[in-house]
Amino acid sequence: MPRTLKVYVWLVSAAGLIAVAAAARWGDLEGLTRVSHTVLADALFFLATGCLLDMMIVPMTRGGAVSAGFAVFYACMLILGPYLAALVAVLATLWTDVIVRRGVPFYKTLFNVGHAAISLLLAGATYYLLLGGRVGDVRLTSVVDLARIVGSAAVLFASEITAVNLAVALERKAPVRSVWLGNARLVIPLDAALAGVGLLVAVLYANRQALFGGYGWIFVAGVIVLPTSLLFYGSRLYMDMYRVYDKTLRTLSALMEAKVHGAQQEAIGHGERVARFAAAAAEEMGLSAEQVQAIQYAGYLHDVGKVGVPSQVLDNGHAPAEEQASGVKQHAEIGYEILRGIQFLSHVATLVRYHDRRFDQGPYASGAPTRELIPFGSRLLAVAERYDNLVTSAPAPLLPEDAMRRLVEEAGSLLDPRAVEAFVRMLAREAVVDGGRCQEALNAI
Amino acid sequence: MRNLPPLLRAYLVVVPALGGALLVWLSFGLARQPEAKVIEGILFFLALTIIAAQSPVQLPRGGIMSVAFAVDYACIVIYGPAVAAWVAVLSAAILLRKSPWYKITFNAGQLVLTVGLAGLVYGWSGGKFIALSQDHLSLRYSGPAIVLSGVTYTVVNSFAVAIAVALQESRQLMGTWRVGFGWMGPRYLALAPFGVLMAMVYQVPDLRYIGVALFLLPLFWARYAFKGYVDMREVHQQTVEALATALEAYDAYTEDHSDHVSGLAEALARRLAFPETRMEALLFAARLHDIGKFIMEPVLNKTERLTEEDWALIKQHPAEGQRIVAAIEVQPGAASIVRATHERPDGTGYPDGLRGEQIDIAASIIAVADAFHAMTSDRPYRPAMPEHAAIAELSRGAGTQFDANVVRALVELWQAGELPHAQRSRHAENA
Repeated sequence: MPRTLKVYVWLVSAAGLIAVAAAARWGDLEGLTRVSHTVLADALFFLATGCLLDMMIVPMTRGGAVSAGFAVFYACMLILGPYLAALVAVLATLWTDVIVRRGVPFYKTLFNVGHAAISLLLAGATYYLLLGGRVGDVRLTSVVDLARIVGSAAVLFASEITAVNLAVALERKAPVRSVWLGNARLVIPLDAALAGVGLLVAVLYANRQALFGGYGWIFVAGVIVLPTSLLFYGSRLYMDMYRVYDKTLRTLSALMEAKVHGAQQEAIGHGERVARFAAAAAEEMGLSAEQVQAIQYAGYLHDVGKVGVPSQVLDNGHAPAEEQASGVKQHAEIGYEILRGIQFLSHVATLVRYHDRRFDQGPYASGAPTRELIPFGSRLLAVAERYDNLVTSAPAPLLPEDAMRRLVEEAGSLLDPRAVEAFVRMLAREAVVDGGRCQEALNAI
Repeated sequence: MRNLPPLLRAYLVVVPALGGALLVWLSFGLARQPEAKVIEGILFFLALTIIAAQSPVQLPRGGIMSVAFAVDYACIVIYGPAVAAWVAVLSAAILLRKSPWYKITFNAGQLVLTVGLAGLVYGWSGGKFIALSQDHLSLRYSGPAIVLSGVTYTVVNSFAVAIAVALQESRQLMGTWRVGFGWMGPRYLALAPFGVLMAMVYQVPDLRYIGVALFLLPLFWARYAFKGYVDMREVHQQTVEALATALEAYDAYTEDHSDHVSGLAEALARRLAFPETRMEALLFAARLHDIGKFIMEPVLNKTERLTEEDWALIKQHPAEGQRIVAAIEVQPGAASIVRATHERPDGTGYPDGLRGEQIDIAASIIAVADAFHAMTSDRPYRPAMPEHAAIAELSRGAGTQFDANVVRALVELWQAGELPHAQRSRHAENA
């Protein structure tokens, strides 16, 4: 585990525990002073549903996860105040991490407990101290009520997402911004939905007696479980598919390599390595999540055209005249033909099409675009591929440091200087090459 | 509309007529209600329905999913059948405005019948329409009404659609309905409680419309995630197919082979009443049944006689295929099917030497489809065999090399002229 991550995890854990202790000791939040039987029953209700929901973990695309439990913790914060809500969150987190999902490392449990407690206390401070809410009195009648609800929910989830994304970024040594943006597409609507459920639950719980009579809590539990299960189910399907797709591309990429190169061991894994390097460099540049993803997929697939030449590709009339006459097409072009029919993958197909173009060459063959039109992702792939060839190819594979120097020499002729720069930065961040050497290389570009 | 079958045309007139009559009849009841309240309800639920019906998700095996069910249901319970029927008509007119007129009228009519009848059943069986009365909705009193009207909704809706589909494609009604109902029933069961909960939330004085709208958030999220899933699945399927095609395309002869084998396997499976739930796994396995063959390439290119080891390698290719399909993971059942595609009922197949009943029927289907297509297409060393000769050849192997039931199904399809002729039609397309 990187040192920065270790320090961060311990800081969050300690801060969280101190916050709970401090709130317990000094907090003049109302929930504390009126511990009675009904409060106890309420707390047990939220604890039980919170434990149930906390088991529904939705993994995020870029690592980390969102717990559905926050819908209940938020409702509990509105009904019973932040201190009891933090306590419920802490207990529910312990329940899932220690009892349900055994084997979660101790420091992770502590971290989860810590950031949940901090997030709830921050949201509580917004709701009660900053915007003057009263414990158990959830209303939606004025603009101020709305501001309280929206503001505290925003603080809760922003704090929660940031804590988790920061840990993911430190663990994967990826830029925080890129992890945040990569996850945001999925997490923001999910959190908004969870906040909505939390609000509904709070209002219904507060009015359950009047509305539904003695067994109202059963009904409220239904409002909690039904929508969140649906959320959980949909997200799970999506995330699983995501993971499966990635794995499929890796499998197929290895399969194609085995078919093309036979027993040449060093060729195996080339696609996967190019994908990883190019995607990491793209993250380094702060490209959007979609772009990073497309570059990664294109990395897996960039040599697909070497596998075979489907006959319809050869005689479909799309190829430039001289290529058709010679009967030979570049493998990149063939790869493009194979991939371009796949829905949603057209951008990936374009990246594959141009990944083997030299940077300094103008219009390539007839009908091909000029330099400006070649997508930057293809440039990144070219650098990643060149690097992998340099460090793996027999008979004389280079050391990473020497390969990096070679890339710098080739920047401007074979390779795009901007892409090389991003790649070198990535090598430094991933500690593949010593940081000082990377700085020298960057100065030389 | 003119090129539609006459019965279907009649049906497309009858449904809107019945729907219109029901709408008029329901509207008489509406006249007794406070006007402002009725208009408010219609506008609110119309907006909600239109939002809920935006970009519905195309499901992999046909059909669409939208969260409109839940909204319909909430509208029935809160405002009753008349408002729900008007919302249905207006939303159909708005949402389908770019479709041919008979689609709009049919859908409007069909929806009026569905929500109208469901609403009437709800009222007759003791349910309360909470916006129009001072009563609270209580599960204890309205429970039976909720269940009965839910059943009505599903049955009316699925029949109305199934009849249209059956008439259009001249298929058997009950079979079509079962497929549609099997698709709709579970979704309805999942979404109906949302409708009830939305209606109950509506009763909270503080929440009203906000509460109903809040309920849509998780529904929308689920829809969004589900759309992501369906899209991703589509990409996955297409990627695997494109790459499998690329992998197998080392000569022009085998190129479309897997496409045809899966087309033929589907026809055979339907003939044999192969369970619909395993159909996707079967088709996936048929599509990829050759994917393990690349390990045989060094052997296939040999000019000298094959050795023992070469044969051992060849016999491993279904196992290699199983490994790859298992790694692709998207159809968990497909991997073991691929493994068994070279087994023979007499036990002399490979890699496991399974016998008769031990062989998965799915694998036997693929084996027959594979052999039939291989025999009836050109190869470098021989021209294609005529279909009747291939059928005779397969019949000779029935019970020993091939599963006898599958061969019988193939013969029946051939006699009925129902074999898919993928190759011919493809050439026609190219021309």
